[in-house]
Amino acid sequence: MRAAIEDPPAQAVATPRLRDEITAAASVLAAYLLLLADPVARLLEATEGAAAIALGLGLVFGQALLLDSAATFLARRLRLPSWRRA
Amino acid sequence: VTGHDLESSRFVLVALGLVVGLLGGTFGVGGSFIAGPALFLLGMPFNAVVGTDLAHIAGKSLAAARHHDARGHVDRRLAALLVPTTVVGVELGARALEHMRRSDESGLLATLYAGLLAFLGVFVFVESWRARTKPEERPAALFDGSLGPGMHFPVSRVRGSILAVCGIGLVSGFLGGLFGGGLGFLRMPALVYLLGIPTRVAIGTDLLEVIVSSGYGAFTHALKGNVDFGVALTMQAGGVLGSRFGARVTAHVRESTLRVAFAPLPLLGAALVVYRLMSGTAQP
Repeated sequence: MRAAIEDPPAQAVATPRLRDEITAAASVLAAYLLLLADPVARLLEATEGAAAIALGLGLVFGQALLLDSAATFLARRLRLPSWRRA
Repeated sequence: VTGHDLESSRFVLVALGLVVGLLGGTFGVGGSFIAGPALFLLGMPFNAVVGTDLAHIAGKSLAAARHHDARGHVDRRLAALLVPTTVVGVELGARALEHMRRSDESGLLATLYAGLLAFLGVFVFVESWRARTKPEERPAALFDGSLGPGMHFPVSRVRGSILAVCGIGLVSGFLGGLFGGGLGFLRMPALVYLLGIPTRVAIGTDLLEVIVSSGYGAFTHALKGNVDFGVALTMQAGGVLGSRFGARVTAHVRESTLRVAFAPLPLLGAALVVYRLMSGTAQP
């Protein structure tokens, strides 16, 4: 038994090409591991008690937004030459 | 996994986060069924596994939900009903857990839960496999707006029963609170088959709920000292980036194909519950 209702069409968004997405994600990940991971770990180790919980939870959401926004920003601006032309 | 251990496991944690993020972004699940056992294998104590897992899930689900929202896959009105009822359900489940620790009912309930997950996996697979070759249509809803007061969900283009939505939130939250994780296994198919919500919207909306429930779980576990934020943040770096690709997959794949690919996940969840039962590590 099926409803004859069509699903809403996917909303049109400016999606970067997959190649640009992969390059941007890899760049952001490399930058995180090289520049951010150690200072964040040291900062967490240096904090204790309620401040550590507040900092940890803040970083959980803050880092997610930061990395995601950085990857989006990079992917939209990379526009690498296509595979065919490369 | 702290200090020196974290240093040596950093790349493993990032890779684990990537896999969990990809699955979470694609199917709207938290991914604790993979991350939990993997962290345990890496040598993290069980109490820290649960809290750390929840913390990493909260962050990467935020990124995944943003991408689904940009593609029109998040029904905020539906989420506004689901989130509070799920939180109440989780709290009731956690209290029931305390009660069952003192009784012998836990084994029976865990068996029933495993049976429900196994049934869901098989049902979703059979239904979506049959729908695979037909024109894209959503499955018929079991509960339309005629069951009690109804509400129109504009993003989903569905008039659904408020009681059914609250029931889905309560039951999935209760079982999640009782057995730990696995909420997405139940909620996504429940939204699709009981309310007729499009699969992509069910996935995106589910992620919005995962942010709240796992964020709340991470907070309560952090108060008890059960969260290693260093490990959670390292996993999350991979998870955030993996979930971006997951959201992309969801947008480009047929809804019936998404459900076929989703079907093994509840079966895996059932296997995990059975394993816990047999090894004597079932949560209740």
